[in-house]
Amino acid sequence: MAQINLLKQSKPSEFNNLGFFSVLSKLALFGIFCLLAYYGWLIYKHRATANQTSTLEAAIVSQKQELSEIKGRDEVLIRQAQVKEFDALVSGHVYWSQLMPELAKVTLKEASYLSFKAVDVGTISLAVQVPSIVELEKFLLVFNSPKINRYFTDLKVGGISRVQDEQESYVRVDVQFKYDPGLLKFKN
Amino acid sequence: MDINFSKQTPSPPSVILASPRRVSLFELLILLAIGILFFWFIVSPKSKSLSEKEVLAETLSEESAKLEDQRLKLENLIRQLSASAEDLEKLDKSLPLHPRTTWVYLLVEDLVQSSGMAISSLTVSNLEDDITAGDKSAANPFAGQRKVKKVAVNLGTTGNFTQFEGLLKKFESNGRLMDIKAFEVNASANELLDFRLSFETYYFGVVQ
Repeated sequence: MAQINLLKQSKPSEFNNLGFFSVLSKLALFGIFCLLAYYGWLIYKHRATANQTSTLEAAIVSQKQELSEIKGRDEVLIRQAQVKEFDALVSGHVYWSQLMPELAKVTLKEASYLSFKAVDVGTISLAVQVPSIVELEKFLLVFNSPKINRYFTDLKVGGISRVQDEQESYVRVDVQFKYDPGLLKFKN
Repeated sequence: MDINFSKQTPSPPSVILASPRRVSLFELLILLAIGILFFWFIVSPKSKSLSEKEVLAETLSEESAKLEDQRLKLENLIRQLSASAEDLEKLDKSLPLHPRTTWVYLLVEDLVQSSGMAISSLTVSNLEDDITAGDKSAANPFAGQRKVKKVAVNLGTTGNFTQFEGLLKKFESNGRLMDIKAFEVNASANELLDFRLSFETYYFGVVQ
C-alpha cells in the first residue's frame, strides 16, 4: 500500500520556521556570550578598582599621619589663627584721636567743656560752659551747619543753669549727641 | 496469527511531535530569559557596584592629592615662619599668647609716663579664668585650641589736653592692641584735667 508522506506535504519554508528561529537563537547566544565577556571585564575592573581604593585609603592614612607629625605644624596653625584674629581686631580698632579735631571744629571759641564723656556705642556727653544764653544758641546752631558739622547728630540738651561763682557768671548746659562711627576708623 | 500493532499503527515521526519550529522558539525563549536574568541579577548590580567603587576611588584620589598639596603648603609655611622671627615678635607683642596682666600694667605705666602725665589710678583685670604661671600643660605653647581673650584696664590720669591727645595717639599706634571703650574728661586742680579711660587689650589664650 502506498504511504502518504505527510512530512513532505507540510514542510515549512526554511526561513519562516527553522532558519529564522535558529538565527535568533544564535543571536541570543551571541548576546549571552557578550554579556559574559562584559561580566568578566566588570570583575576584572572591579578588582582593579578595589585594589586602587585600598591603596589610596592606606596612602591617605599614611599622609594624614605624616601631616600630623610634621614638626612645626602646631605652631603654623596657631600662628595662622593668631594672624586672622589680629586682622579682625585691627579692622574694628577705633582711633579716638581723630574725634578731637572734629569736635574742635564745632566748638565756638567762647565755649569750653567742663566735662566730656565718650563711649564706643556712639554717644558723647558734654557739660559745656558758655558766657550767655545767646552764645549757647550759637553753639547749638553750629551743629545745624552741614559745612562745619559732618560727624555729629541728634544733639539733645539736658539741664541749662546759670552759674555764678566768685570770679565769673556763666551758663552751664549738659548736652548729648551721637557721632558717626566712621570718624573713628583709620584714615591715612 | 499475531497482529503487529506497531506496524499497523506506526508512531508519528518525531519531527511532528517536536517540530523544529517549537524547539527553536523554546530555546530562544530560554536563552532570552537566561540573558535577561543574568543581566538583571548579576551584571547590572556588578556594574552599579563598579560605578560606586570608581566614584569612591576618584574621591579618595582627590583627597590624597589635597593632602599632598596641604603637606607642601605646610612645609612652605614652616619655612616662611622660621624666616620671620621679627614679624612673629611683633605679632606676639600685638596679640600675645600668654595672659600675663603684669605686662599690660607695665606697658600702660610706660605710655602714660612717656606722655608726661601722672597716673592717679590703674586697674588691670583679666576677664578670663586663665592660669598665669605654673601651668604644666604649657610645655608645648602651640598645642590645643586658642581664642581671643580680653584684659580690662581702667586708667585714671591727670595732665593737660595736649598731653592727653598724645597719650591717645600712643595707645592707637602702640604695638599691643588697645581698644578704648570710654573716656571721660573732668576739670582737676591746678588747671589740669582729670582723664578716665576704660579700655580693653587682648591675648590669644588657650581654650580651657
